[in-house]
This record gives sequence, C-alpha cells and structure tokens, in this order.
Amino acid sequence: MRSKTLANIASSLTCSFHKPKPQILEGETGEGKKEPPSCDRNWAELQRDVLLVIFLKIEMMEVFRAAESVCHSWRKVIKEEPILWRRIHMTEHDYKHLYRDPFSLMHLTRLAIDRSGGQLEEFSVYMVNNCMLQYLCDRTSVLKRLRLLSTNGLSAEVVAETVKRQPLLEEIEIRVSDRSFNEKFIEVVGKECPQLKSFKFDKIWSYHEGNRTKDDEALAIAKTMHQLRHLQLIYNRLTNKGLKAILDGCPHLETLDIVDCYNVKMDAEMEARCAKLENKSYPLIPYLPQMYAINL
Amino acid sequence: MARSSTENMITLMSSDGEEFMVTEKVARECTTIRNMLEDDCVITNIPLPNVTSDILSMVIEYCMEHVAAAEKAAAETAEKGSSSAPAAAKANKDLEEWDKAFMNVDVYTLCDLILAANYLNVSGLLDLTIQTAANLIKGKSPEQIRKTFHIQNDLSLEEEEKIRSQTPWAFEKSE
Repeated sequence: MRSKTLANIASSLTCSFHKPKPQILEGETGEGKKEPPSCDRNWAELQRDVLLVIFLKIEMMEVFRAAESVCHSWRKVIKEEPILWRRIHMTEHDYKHLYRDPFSLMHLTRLAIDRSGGQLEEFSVYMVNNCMLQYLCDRTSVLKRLRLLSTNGLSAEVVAETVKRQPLLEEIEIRVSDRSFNEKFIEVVGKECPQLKSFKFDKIWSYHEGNRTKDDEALAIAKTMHQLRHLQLIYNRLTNKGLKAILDGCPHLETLDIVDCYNVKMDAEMEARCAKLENKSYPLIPYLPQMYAINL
Repeated sequence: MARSSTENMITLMSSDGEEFMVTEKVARECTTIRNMLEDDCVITNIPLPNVTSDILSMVIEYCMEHVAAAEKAAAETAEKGSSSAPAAAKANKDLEEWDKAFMNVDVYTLCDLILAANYLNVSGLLDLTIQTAANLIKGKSPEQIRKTFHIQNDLSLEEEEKIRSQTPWAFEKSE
C-alpha cells in the first residue's frame, strides 16, 4: 500500500478540467435576484471540457441554431471540437423547418462534415444530393450509420459508391424514391458492407403497385447480408418465398418488421420459422387495394 | 484494499474550513474519495480545497439520498428473494423526482455543482447536472440562452450579421 501525505492527496485531487477557484463567493445560491457572475462561475468562461460534455447532450441542429451564436468562447469550442460533429443527425422537425431553404441546409450539412474532421460516424439526413455524398466520402471513411430519409435527387449508383467507400457501415436506412434502388443496388450494399447489422429499406413510393409479387430484393438480402440483426422492409412486395430465403440467409436476425408487406401470408409454417426472432411485426390482414384509396 | 465497515466515519473539509462527517459508504459515492480510501484506508479527514461548504453540503445530500435508495432496494430484494418490478419502478421514479427537485437551483449553483461533481467524480450527479444544463439550452434562441446563463454578448455587430446571414432560420422563433 502506498502511503501518501494529505497534501499530496489533496493536490492529486485536481481533476482534468478543474480550474482552482481563487476565492469563494457565498450567498448566491438562494432564490430571488441573482448577483452578477464572478469570473470563476461564468458560464461563458466554463472550461472547454465541461462545455463540450454539455454540448454533446444537445442535438446538432440545436447547436447550429443557437448555442454557436451565444458568445465567442462557446463559438470557439463548438467550431474546434470534431467530437461534437461525429453524428450528423437531422430530425424530421429540422427538415420541416429547413426544407424551404435548401441552400442553408446544404451549407450546414457541408459545414458539419468539415467540422467532423474525418471522424463522422453517423450521417442521418433528409435532403442531400449526389454532390453532397461525394463531398462526404472525400472527407470521411469511418461512417457506421447512414440514413438517407429521402433519396429525391440521389442516384442509386452514387449511393452504392458511397457505401463502397464506407467499409465500417453497420446500419443503413434508405427511403427510396425510384426504381433504380432495386435488387442490384441491395446486392452491392450487402457485398460492400460485411459488417452490416441493420438494414431498413422503405419503398413508400411503391405502395400503389398493389399486390404484384417480387422476391428479387428479398433474395438479394438473403444472398449478401449474412450478419444482419435487424431488418425492416416497408411496402416490399416479397412473398413467403423471399421471407424464407431471408430467414435462411440471415441466421443472426433478431428483429424483423414487414408489417406493410402484404404479399407475405403468415401461415403456421411461417409462424414456426419466425418463432426464434426476438421481435417481429407481420402484416396482420391480407392486402386490399381499397385500403389506400383514401390516400390516393 | 481493506473493505472497512460501513459505520466508519470520514470527515470532509470544504475550502472554507467547514467540516462534514459522513459515513464511509456515502463518501465512497465520490470516486475521487473512494480511490483515496483504497490507496490509504486509514485516512479519516479529507480536505477538499476546491469545494465550498454550501456546494459540498449539496453533494453530500445527493450522495446520501442515492445511497439510501440503493440500500432500500437491496433490503427489499433480500427480503423477498427478488425485487418486484412495480416496486423497483416506483422507487426509481421517486428517485428521479427527487433528482428533479434537487436540480431546482440557479445557474451559478448549477455551474458550481457541475465543477464539484466532476472534481469529486460523482458520475450520477455529473450526468444529472450536465443534462440539466443541456435542457436549459434546448429550444432557446441565442439571446434567450444568454439571458438564462447571464452571458454577455461579446460578438460584434459584424459577426452577428455574418452568423445571421449564414443561418437565417437560427433567429426565427422556435416552435
């Protein structure tokens, strides 16, 4: 056992981000009128590490929207810390707020990519174009999570190329907007991302195609995404054949959501096959074209 | 690394010389103090030159509440063999409520608590205070944030104009 003097111990207590306080001010903790801040408890001058931990709890757009414009010292911390920009995560709210101003949106996305200093791990966005994905790939190659929640203006080739240049991807979510995002695209994604754990493929645009069956995409998933843990297919036209192939090809699957895939018939055999899954959502009723009449 | 009885008392001394007697179990909630005790188990008097008495008393209050909650949960588990889920959920909720009430402080006290929680390495308190600070920032305009935290606006008119032109929506009212 090491023996330490109290003085030694006390001095060793000084932690990484504590600035010793030169003087003590009392009587400021009560309710009522606040006294002006002393230099050592000034929120503007709070140590960088403390501010950093606080800012890490705030959504990216929130940091852009306000925190950055508060004062010089906050601004400096926010601009200079790549760790704050590891996750570009745009919420639907941000998007609704910003879609009228695509120029600002693009500018901000680019700025956030720049500030991440090559450490970007998550890119979850509503509106990007081919150039932005190119810009992203030129600056980072450690992306783990890619969520493209609108592919308007994106080509399947460029998205496939992006995926190729991000070998660490574990999670992909794509809300596709046209037919170019097909089984060939899925096959490229599966082959290029050996660590892919979660795949969400939303074909909301194809809901009007009704009950025509198509298993090619399911077969591509089964053929290439063997490490998959979570799969969500939205408005996919796969049938029991495709689902069986997925269950065979993805032995580690834990969650499956095919609630909007009305060509799958959950008969006793399929139920038995899916029994080992931890979480599952199936189509509960057979497909009826008039179900969507209201939306059309 | 002798594990002493929980009845051991430790005296913590604040920067302004006030002494606080706490059980070793409560003191151990502070990782910084726990490490010291494990290095040298005979210490009973610990000076904390970076923490004032009002803040130290709050930190101790937090640690005591959380130790008591943990002890209560452990006692219930021992009594019934396994803790019942609803009771545990209620206890958690009560503790959350207590935390929430505990965080009803002005921003200067909050700042001091963050620094003390970091210095003493009380992870629960650090998370709580940091989250409280983050919540105070969320949904506010830059001007509202400055007002909340009593921060002087040191940006020049030109700089503000530049930020405004780059992010015009930042100055719109948030919904």
